[in-house]
Amino acid sequence: MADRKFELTEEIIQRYYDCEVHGQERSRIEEALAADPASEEKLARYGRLSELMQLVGEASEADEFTARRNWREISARLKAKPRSLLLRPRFWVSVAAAAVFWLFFYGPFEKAQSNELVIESIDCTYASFMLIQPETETGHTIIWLSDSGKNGSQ
Amino acid sequence: MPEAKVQQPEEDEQLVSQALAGSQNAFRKLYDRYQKKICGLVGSMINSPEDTGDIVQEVFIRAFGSLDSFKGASSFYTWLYRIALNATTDFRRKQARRSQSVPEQPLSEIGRGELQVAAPGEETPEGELYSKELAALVRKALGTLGKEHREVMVLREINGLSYAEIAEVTGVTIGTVMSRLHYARKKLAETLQRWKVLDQEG
Repeated sequence: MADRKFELTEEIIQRYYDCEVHGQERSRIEEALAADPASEEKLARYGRLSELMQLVGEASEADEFTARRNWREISARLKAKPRSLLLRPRFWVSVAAAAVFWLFFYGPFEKAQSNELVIESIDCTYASFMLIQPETETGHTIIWLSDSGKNGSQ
Repeated sequence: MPEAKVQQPEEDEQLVSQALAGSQNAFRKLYDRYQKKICGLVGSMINSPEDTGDIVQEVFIRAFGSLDSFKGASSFYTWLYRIALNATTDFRRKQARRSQSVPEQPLSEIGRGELQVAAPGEETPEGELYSKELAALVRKALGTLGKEHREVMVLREINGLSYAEIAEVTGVTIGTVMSRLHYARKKLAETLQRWKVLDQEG
Protein backbone atom coordinates (compact mmCIF):
# COMPACT_ATOMS: atom_id res chain seq x y z
CA MET A 1 0.00 0.00 0.00
CA ALA A 2 2.87 2.31 0.86
CA ASP A 3 4.15 1.93 -2.71
CA ARG A 4 1.17 3.88 -3.97
CA LYS A 5 2.57 6.96 -2.31
CA PHE A 6 5.82 6.63 -4.21
CA GLU A 7 6.43 10.06 -5.66
CA LEU A 8 8.26 10.49 -8.93
CA THR A 9 10.32 13.60 -8.40
CA GLU A 10 12.43 15.22 -11.12
CA GLU A 11 15.49 13.88 -9.37
CA ILE A 12 14.22 10.32 -9.37
CA ILE A 13 13.20 10.52 -13.02
CA GLN A 14 16.63 11.83 -13.91
CA ARG A 15 18.45 9.14 -11.95
CA TYR A 16 16.27 6.51 -13.58
CA TYR A 17 16.96 7.93 -17.01
CA ASP A 18 20.70 7.96 -16.34
CA CYS A 19 20.62 4.32 -15.17
CA GLU A 20 21.65 5.34 -11.66
CA VAL A 21 18.96 3.32 -9.89
CA HIS A 22 19.04 -0.40 -9.36
CA GLY A 23 17.10 -3.34 -8.07
CA GLN A 24 13.94 -2.69 -6.16
CA GLU A 25 14.05 1.05 -6.59
CA ARG A 26 14.14 0.60 -10.34
CA SER A 27 11.08 -1.64 -10.32
CA ARG A 28 9.17 0.79 -8.13
CA ILE A 29 9.99 3.65 -10.46
CA GLU A 30 8.92 1.65 -13.49
CA GLU A 31 5.61 0.88 -11.88
CA ALA A 32 5.08 4.51 -10.95
CA LEU A 33 6.03 5.66 -14.44
CA ALA A 34 3.53 3.31 -16.02
CA ALA A 35 0.82 4.97 -13.97
CA ASP A 36 1.94 8.54 -14.62
CA PRO A 37 1.87 9.75 -18.25
CA ALA A 38 3.23 13.18 -17.33
CA SER A 39 6.36 11.63 -15.87
CA GLU A 40 6.69 9.34 -18.88
CA GLU A 41 6.60 12.43 -21.06
CA LYS A 42 9.40 13.98 -18.99
CA LEU A 43 11.41 10.83 -19.54
CA ALA A 44 10.76 11.00 -23.27
CA ARG A 45 11.98 14.60 -23.33
CA TYR A 46 15.24 13.52 -21.70
CA GLY A 47 15.52 11.05 -24.55
CA ARG A 48 14.98 13.70 -27.22
CA LEU A 49 17.55 15.96 -25.59
CA SER A 50 20.03 13.08 -25.54
CA GLU A 51 19.47 12.49 -29.26
CA LEU A 52 20.33 16.11 -29.95
CA MET A 53 23.41 15.89 -27.75
CA GLN A 54 24.49 12.79 -29.64
CA LEU A 55 24.45 14.82 -32.83
CA VAL A 56 26.95 17.23 -31.27
CA GLY A 57 29.16 14.36 -30.18
CA GLU A 58 29.08 12.72 -33.60
CA ALA A 59 29.74 16.01 -35.38
CA SER A 60 32.76 16.57 -33.13
CA GLU A 61 34.39 13.19 -33.71
CA ALA A 62 37.40 13.20 -35.95
CA ASP A 63 37.17 11.14 -39.13
CA GLU A 64 39.87 8.57 -39.90
CA PHE A 65 41.94 11.03 -41.87
CA THR A 66 41.85 13.71 -39.17
CA ALA A 67 42.57 11.17 -36.46
CA ARG A 68 45.68 9.97 -38.33
CA ARG A 69 46.79 13.53 -39.00
CA ASN A 70 46.35 14.39 -35.31
CA TRP A 71 48.49 11.41 -34.33
CA ARG A 72 51.21 12.42 -36.80
CA GLU A 73 51.31 15.86 -35.18
CA ILE A 74 51.39 14.39 -31.69
CA SER A 75 54.07 11.90 -32.64
CA ALA A 76 56.22 14.61 -34.21
CA ARG A 77 55.92 16.79 -31.14
CA LEU A 78 56.76 13.90 -28.86
CA LYS A 79 59.83 13.09 -30.92
CA ALA A 80 60.87 16.70 -30.90
CA LYS A 81 60.52 16.74 -27.15
CA PRO A 82 61.92 13.49 -25.80
CA ARG A 83 60.91 12.64 -22.29
CA SER A 84 64.23 13.45 -20.76
CA LEU A 85 64.60 14.23 -17.09
CA LEU A 86 65.51 17.78 -17.94
CA LEU A 87 62.11 18.38 -19.48
CA ARG A 88 60.13 17.26 -16.52
CA PRO A 89 58.97 20.10 -14.27
CA ARG A 90 59.11 17.71 -11.31
CA PHE A 91 62.81 17.25 -11.86
CA TRP A 92 63.42 20.99 -11.68
CA VAL A 93 61.25 21.34 -8.62
CA SER A 94 63.37 18.66 -6.93
CA VAL A 95 66.60 20.37 -8.01
CA ALA A 96 65.35 23.71 -6.71
CA ALA A 97 64.30 22.14 -3.41
CA ALA A 98 67.70 20.46 -3.06
CA ALA A 99 69.48 23.73 -3.84
CA VAL A 100 67.45 25.63 -1.24
CA PHE A 101 68.17 22.87 1.28
CA TRP A 102 71.89 22.95 0.53
CA LEU A 103 72.10 26.74 0.72
CA PHE A 104 70.21 26.75 3.98
CA PHE A 105 72.43 24.23 5.71
CA TYR A 106 75.79 24.55 3.99
CA GLY A 107 75.68 27.78 2.11
CA PRO A 108 77.48 31.05 2.88
CA PHE A 109 74.54 32.36 4.88
CA GLU A 110 75.31 30.08 7.74
CA LYS A 111 78.86 31.39 8.07
CA ALA A 112 77.77 34.98 7.77
CA GLN A 113 75.16 34.56 10.44
CA SER A 114 77.21 32.40 12.77
CA ASN A 115 79.16 33.77 15.74
CA GLU A 116 81.39 30.76 15.86
CA LEU A 117 85.10 31.23 15.39
CA VAL A 118 86.50 29.40 12.50
CA ILE A 119 90.07 28.14 12.50
CA GLU A 120 91.47 28.88 9.12
CA SER A 121 95.11 28.02 9.84
CA ILE A 122 97.41 27.20 12.67
CA ASP A 123 100.87 28.62 12.65
CA CYS A 124 102.73 26.58 15.19
CA THR A 125 106.36 26.14 16.05
CA TYR A 126 105.71 23.15 18.14
CA ALA A 127 106.75 19.89 16.67
CA SER A 128 103.37 18.39 17.03
CA PHE A 129 99.92 19.37 17.88
CA MET A 130 96.60 17.79 17.72
CA LEU A 131 93.29 19.27 16.72
CA ILE A 132 90.37 17.61 18.31
CA GLN A 133 86.82 18.43 17.42
CA PRO A 134 84.75 16.10 19.50
CA GLU A 135 81.05 15.74 18.80
CA THR A 136 79.83 17.60 21.83
CA GLU A 137 76.74 19.66 22.18
CA THR A 138 78.81 22.78 22.59
CA GLY A 139 80.79 21.97 19.49
CA HIS A 140 83.99 23.35 21.09
CA THR A 141 87.26 22.67 19.37
CA ILE A 142 90.13 21.49 21.52
CA ILE A 143 93.67 22.26 20.44
CA TRP A 144 96.14 20.05 22.20
CA LEU A 145 99.69 21.25 21.99
CA SER A 146 102.61 19.13 22.85
CA ASP A 147 106.21 20.17 23.15
CA SER A 148 107.38 16.64 23.30
CA GLY A 149 108.76 17.10 19.82
CA LYS A 150 111.23 19.72 21.08
CA ASN A 151 112.34 17.52 23.88
CA GLY A 152 112.41 14.47 21.78
CA SER A 153 115.13 12.95 19.70
CA GLN A 154 115.44 15.91 17.31
CA MET B 1 47.91 -27.84 -34.68
CA PRO B 2 48.51 -25.36 -31.89
CA GLU B 3 45.52 -23.46 -30.75
CA ALA B 4 45.52 -19.87 -31.88
CA LYS B 5 46.04 -17.59 -28.95
CA VAL B 6 43.30 -15.05 -28.47
CA GLN B 7 45.06 -11.83 -27.69
CA GLN B 8 43.40 -9.87 -24.95
CA PRO B 9 43.50 -6.11 -25.33
CA GLU B 10 46.01 -4.65 -22.95
CA GLU B 11 44.71 -2.84 -19.94
CA ASP B 12 45.16 0.90 -19.91
CA GLU B 13 47.50 0.64 -16.92
CA GLN B 14 49.74 -1.79 -18.81
CA LEU B 15 49.91 0.55 -21.76
CA VAL B 16 50.68 3.46 -19.47
CA SER B 17 53.59 1.52 -17.93
CA GLN B 18 54.92 0.69 -21.37
CA ALA B 19 54.55 4.29 -22.52
CA LEU B 20 56.39 5.44 -19.42
CA ALA B 21 59.18 3.07 -20.34
CA GLY B 22 59.41 4.91 -23.65
CA SER B 23 57.10 2.94 -25.91
CA GLN B 24 55.41 5.33 -28.27
CA ASN B 25 53.53 2.38 -29.72
CA ALA B 26 51.82 1.84 -26.38
CA PHE B 27 50.87 5.48 -26.25
CA ARG B 28 49.53 5.22 -29.78
CA LYS B 29 47.23 2.44 -28.61
CA LEU B 30 45.93 4.68 -25.84
CA TYR B 31 45.42 7.43 -28.40
CA ASP B 32 43.50 5.11 -30.71
CA ARG B 33 41.39 3.97 -27.81
CA TYR B 34 40.39 7.41 -26.57
CA GLN B 35 40.83 9.95 -29.33
CA LYS B 36 37.18 9.73 -30.42
CA LYS B 37 35.93 10.31 -26.90
CA ILE B 38 38.30 13.20 -26.40
CA CYS B 39 37.30 14.71 -29.75
CA GLY B 40 33.64 14.43 -28.74
CA LEU B 41 34.32 16.04 -25.39
CA VAL B 42 36.49 18.87 -26.69
CA GLY B 43 34.39 19.52 -29.78
CA SER B 44 31.24 19.79 -27.69
CA MET B 45 32.83 22.11 -25.19
CA ILE B 46 34.12 24.67 -27.65
CA ASN B 47 32.24 26.39 -30.38
CA SER B 48 35.07 26.14 -32.84
CA PRO B 49 35.34 22.84 -34.71
CA GLU B 50 38.50 23.96 -36.49
CA ASP B 51 40.33 24.25 -33.16
CA THR B 52 39.25 20.85 -31.87
CA GLY B 53 42.15 19.05 -33.54
CA ASP B 54 44.71 21.36 -31.96
CA ILE B 55 43.23 20.92 -28.52
CA VAL B 56 43.02 17.14 -28.89
CA GLN B 57 46.70 17.10 -29.82
CA GLU B 58 47.48 19.27 -26.81
CA VAL B 59 45.53 16.90 -24.55
CA PHE B 60 47.59 13.89 -25.61
CA ILE B 61 50.86 15.80 -25.46
CA ARG B 62 50.03 16.92 -21.92
CA ALA B 63 48.95 13.42 -20.99
CA PHE B 64 52.21 11.95 -22.25
CA GLY B 65 54.19 14.63 -20.47
CA SER B 66 52.58 13.86 -17.15
CA LEU B 67 52.09 10.11 -17.42
CA ASP B 68 54.33 9.65 -14.40
CA SER B 69 51.80 11.56 -12.31
CA PHE B 70 49.10 9.04 -13.20
CA LYS B 71 49.01 6.88 -10.10
CA GLY B 72 46.28 4.52 -11.18
CA ALA B 73 44.05 5.59 -8.29
CA SER B 74 41.43 6.53 -10.87
CA SER B 75 40.86 5.04 -14.27
CA PHE B 76 43.04 6.28 -17.09
CA TYR B 77 40.16 7.76 -19.05
CA THR B 78 38.80 9.84 -16.18
CA TRP B 79 42.34 11.16 -15.73
CA LEU B 80 42.51 11.90 -19.45
CA TYR B 81 39.11 13.61 -19.41
CA ARG B 82 40.33 15.87 -16.63
CA ILE B 83 43.29 16.88 -18.78
CA ALA B 84 40.92 17.47 -21.70
CA LEU B 85 38.66 19.69 -19.62
CA ASN B 86 41.65 21.70 -18.41
CA ALA B 87 42.99 22.10 -21.93
CA THR B 88 39.56 23.19 -23.12
CA THR B 89 39.27 25.71 -20.31
CA ASP B 90 42.71 27.11 -21.17
CA PHE B 91 41.69 27.40 -24.80
CA ARG B 92 38.43 29.17 -23.97
CA ARG B 93 40.28 31.58 -21.71
CA LYS B 94 42.73 32.45 -24.47
CA GLN B 95 39.94 32.71 -26.99
CA ALA B 96 37.95 35.02 -24.71
CA ARG B 97 40.99 37.29 -24.35
CA ARG B 98 41.46 37.40 -28.11
CA SER B 99 37.84 38.03 -29.02
CA GLN B 100 36.90 40.47 -26.31
CA SER B 101 36.38 43.20 -28.84
CA VAL B 102 34.42 41.09 -31.30
CA PRO B 103 30.84 40.67 -30.09
CA GLU B 104 29.30 37.32 -30.88
CA GLN B 105 26.09 36.99 -32.81
CA PRO B 106 23.25 37.27 -30.31
CA LEU B 107 21.99 33.81 -29.58
CA SER B 108 18.41 34.93 -29.75
CA GLU B 109 18.91 35.40 -33.48
CA ILE B 110 20.14 31.90 -34.02
CA GLY B 111 17.87 29.02 -34.73
CA ARG B 112 15.14 30.93 -36.42
CA GLY B 113 16.01 29.55 -39.82
CA GLU B 114 14.14 26.93 -41.74
CA LEU B 115 15.27 23.72 -40.22
CA GLN B 116 12.37 21.53 -41.18
CA VAL B 117 14.08 20.13 -44.27
CA ALA B 118 14.63 16.53 -43.37
CA ALA B 119 14.82 14.31 -40.35
CA PRO B 120 18.15 14.29 -38.54
CA GLY B 121 20.38 11.41 -39.44
CA GLU B 122 18.52 10.67 -42.66
CA GLU B 123 21.09 9.37 -45.11
CA THR B 124 20.55 11.94 -47.79
CA PRO B 125 22.69 15.00 -48.40
CA GLU B 126 19.83 17.08 -47.00
CA GLY B 127 19.54 14.86 -43.96
CA GLU B 128 23.26 15.10 -43.32
CA LEU B 129 23.23 18.85 -43.72
CA TYR B 130 20.26 19.08 -41.41
CA SER B 131 22.06 17.00 -38.78
CA LYS B 132 25.11 19.23 -39.03
CA GLU B 133 23.05 22.39 -38.70
CA LEU B 134 21.17 20.92 -35.81
CA ALA B 135 24.42 19.89 -34.14
CA ALA B 136 25.78 23.40 -34.60
CA LEU B 137 22.67 24.84 -32.99
CA VAL B 138 22.80 22.48 -30.04
CA ARG B 139 26.48 23.30 -29.62
CA LYS B 140 25.58 26.98 -29.54
CA ALA B 141 22.87 26.29 -27.02
CA LEU B 142 25.41 24.40 -24.92
CA GLY B 143 27.53 27.52 -25.12
CA THR B 144 24.86 29.44 -23.25
CA LEU B 145 25.40 27.23 -20.22
CA GLY B 146 28.07 27.96 -17.69
CA LYS B 147 31.27 25.93 -17.81
CA GLU B 148 30.31 23.65 -14.92
CA HIS B 149 26.92 22.83 -16.37
CA ARG B 150 28.27 22.29 -19.85
CA GLU B 151 30.92 19.94 -18.50
CA VAL B 152 28.53 17.62 -16.69
CA MET B 153 26.14 17.65 -19.63
CA VAL B 154 28.83 16.64 -22.11
CA LEU B 155 30.45 14.09 -19.83
CA ARG B 156 27.09 12.44 -19.23
CA GLU B 157 25.39 12.72 -22.60
CA ILE B 158 28.32 12.41 -24.98
CA ASN B 159 30.93 10.50 -23.03
CA GLY B 160 28.41 8.38 -21.14
CA LEU B 161 30.11 8.70 -17.76
CA SER B 162 28.30 7.68 -14.60
CA TYR B 163 27.60 10.22 -11.85
CA ALA B 164 30.52 8.86 -9.83
CA GLU B 165 32.89 9.19 -12.78
CA ILE B 166 31.71 12.73 -13.54
CA ALA B 167 32.26 13.60 -9.89
CA GLU B 168 35.78 12.24 -10.14
CA VAL B 169 36.61 14.14 -13.32
CA THR B 170 35.15 17.44 -12.18
CA GLY B 171 36.15 17.15 -8.54
CA VAL B 172 32.70 17.68 -7.06
CA THR B 173 30.29 15.47 -5.14
CA ILE B 174 27.73 13.20 -6.78
CA GLY B 175 24.98 15.40 -5.37
CA THR B 176 26.46 18.41 -7.12
CA VAL B 177 26.73 16.44 -10.35
CA MET B 178 23.05 15.56 -10.13
CA SER B 179 21.89 19.09 -9.46
CA ARG B 180 24.15 20.55 -12.17
CA LEU B 181 22.92 17.98 -14.64
CA HIS B 182 19.31 18.73 -13.80
CA TYR B 183 19.83 22.45 -14.20
CA ALA B 184 21.80 21.99 -17.44
CA ARG B 185 19.09 19.82 -18.99
CA LYS B 186 16.38 22.23 -17.99
CA LYS B 187 18.18 25.28 -19.35
CA LEU B 188 19.25 23.55 -22.54
CA ALA B 189 15.73 22.32 -23.19
CA GLU B 190 14.36 25.82 -22.63
CA THR B 191 16.85 27.34 -25.06
CA LEU B 192 16.22 24.70 -27.70
CA GLN B 193 12.48 25.17 -27.32
CA ARG B 194 12.87 28.88 -27.80
CA TRP B 195 14.82 28.20 -30.97
CA LYS B 196 12.18 25.72 -32.10
CA VAL B 197 14.68 22.90 -32.15
CA LEU B 198 12.94 21.00 -29.40
CA ASP B 199 9.17 20.74 -29.19
CA GLN B 200 7.31 22.57 -26.47
CA GLU B 201 6.51 20.77 -23.28
CA GLY B 202 3.11 19.15 -23.52
